[in-house]
Amino acid sequence: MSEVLHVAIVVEGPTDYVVLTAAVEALLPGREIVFTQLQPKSSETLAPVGRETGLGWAGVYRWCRQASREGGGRVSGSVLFGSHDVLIVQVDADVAGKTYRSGHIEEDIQDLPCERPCPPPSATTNALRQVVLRWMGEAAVPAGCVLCTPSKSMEAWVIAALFPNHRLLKQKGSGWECHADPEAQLSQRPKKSRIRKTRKDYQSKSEEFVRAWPAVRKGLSEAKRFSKELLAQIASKPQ
Amino acid sequence: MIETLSVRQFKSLESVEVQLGHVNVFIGANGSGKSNLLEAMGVLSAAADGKVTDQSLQQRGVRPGVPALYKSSFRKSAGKPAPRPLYIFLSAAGGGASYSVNLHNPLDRPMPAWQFKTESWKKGTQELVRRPPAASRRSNPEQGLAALLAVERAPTDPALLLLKELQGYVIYSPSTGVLRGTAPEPQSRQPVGLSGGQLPAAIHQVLRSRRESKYARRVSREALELIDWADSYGSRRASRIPLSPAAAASPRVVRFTDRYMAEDRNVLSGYDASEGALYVLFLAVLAAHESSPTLCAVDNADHGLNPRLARSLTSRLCEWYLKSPRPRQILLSTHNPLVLDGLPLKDDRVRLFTVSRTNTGRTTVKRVTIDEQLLAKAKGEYPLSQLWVMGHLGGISNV
Repeated sequence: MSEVLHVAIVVEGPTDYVVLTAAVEALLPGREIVFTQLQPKSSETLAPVGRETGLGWAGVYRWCRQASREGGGRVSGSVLFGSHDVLIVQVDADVAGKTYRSGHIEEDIQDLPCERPCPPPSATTNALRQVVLRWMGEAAVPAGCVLCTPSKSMEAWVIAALFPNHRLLKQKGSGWECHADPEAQLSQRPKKSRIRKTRKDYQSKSEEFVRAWPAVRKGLSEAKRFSKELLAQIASKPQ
Repeated sequence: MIETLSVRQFKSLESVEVQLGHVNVFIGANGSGKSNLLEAMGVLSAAADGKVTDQSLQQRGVRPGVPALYKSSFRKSAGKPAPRPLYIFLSAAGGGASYSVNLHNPLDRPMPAWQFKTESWKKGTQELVRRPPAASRRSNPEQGLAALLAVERAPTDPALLLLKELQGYVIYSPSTGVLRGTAPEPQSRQPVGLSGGQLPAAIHQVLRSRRESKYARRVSREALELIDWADSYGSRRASRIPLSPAAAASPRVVRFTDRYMAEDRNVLSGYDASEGALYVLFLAVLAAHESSPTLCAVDNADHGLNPRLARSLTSRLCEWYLKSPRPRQILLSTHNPLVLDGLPLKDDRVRLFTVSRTNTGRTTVKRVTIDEQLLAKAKGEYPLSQLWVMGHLGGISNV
């Protein structure tokens, strides 16, 4: 068995975890990987209490703040890098349109919203990545860390993977990555092909995600960026 | 002492090698393979003793299983064909000696005893036993050769010491009912059964040994310090202690004196005492009894313990094992985060491992790297228990 890769994952929700792990598996075929879901924490199905961080982008924000505190001001100082080879932090691009107040977060620096015109999707995701880096206490993406910012949400990747003939995917340029609510497209599917946004339903499609990843990566710029950055991080680790 | 344990093709352990210390703590999600690792050592123990049968496995606390369940059987995954292992490989090395076996049992027609396909017992580079695959046709394939040839070795021979350590290995899974004396012990053994049976007699023997042994005095005193509501403990004939008729009659019972109760009504038995106190005494007996195995495992060592007691007991247990006049080695599995805070991890002889399943289901065991940064955090705002719960050490459940 080649060296096992330990990947820590910080995501908005449990379905994002399923898609992201499938993407990582697709990018590293044959590699043995241990995934650790750092966020959301398993017990956090309800509103955040005390040190609990909660679900959604606000949960990712709280996790970043907590981990950077533990790391002495920056996430890269956290002991988690002693036990994990890579940390993936995912935030959907639609978070760029939110306010801290909407996430029940008290924040002095009001760098949200940071949404930019789309296309190109990278205008918004680049701005959002800077915001996330600030949450993490970092000036640039640190070694061992990969940011994942699906545009506008992870469901854009899900539809591209499971329904490659979806009419909106046929739009020229970056149209699909600029669609405001890909999740709605998922729930509007005919009953037969509808997928509920639950971990169980997504897990049942996990192998399909893996198989479809090359096409997703080819068609969506943020999936391509994530793939490239993850592989670059892995390349720096011993096999 | 076993320094390296290697396992291949046993249950979820397709290929695992662990560098062991004196006290070894394994943490991981349910189903990650902690018990499989402890059991792999149990199968090797049975092999070192000459026979791998359901009976010899049960005597060591290993769940007997059919070959279809014992041999790894992973599904085909991306880039990998489905493996079809023929043998289970197990190996232990330490103190300049090693013992390794390949065990075989056909999947389609399982035999009562596993066969030794290969066997190797070494002292340094000298092979004391070398059993190549072809030899199984000439000699009894169900009989380990090292166990037979052990009688020819000098008592201080490092190869014999390694083999004896392996032979004596057992997995304890203490249960409250057995410790209290209300349930029968399924696997009796000296000094205590695998579920904690015969604890009263073992306590009696440890307390008696205090006269000659400073170490036994220390362990028994420190065990009492961990039971804060008791003034004293010991064992007594069941007829000489107030005991509910519902309690199973055993010749001796554990006895405690409650420090808060009136003098004429302050004696209670293990049947009535807190289960935590019984677990403390159980582990104290393992550490201090002269007949307890030099190598053993305790599965779910935190059972029945308040988190803070788990932390204090872990700390004491480490001291007992590290300062034992007879070198001893223990493997513990736990789900209690506070156990981690009781580990003196600055001492290289105390080791913490995370046990996880990979994306294809294979178990992987990783030693937690202890560096100055981690120790500084553990001392400050982020004790290891919290770092583990946060997921920063790995070895957590993803559900």
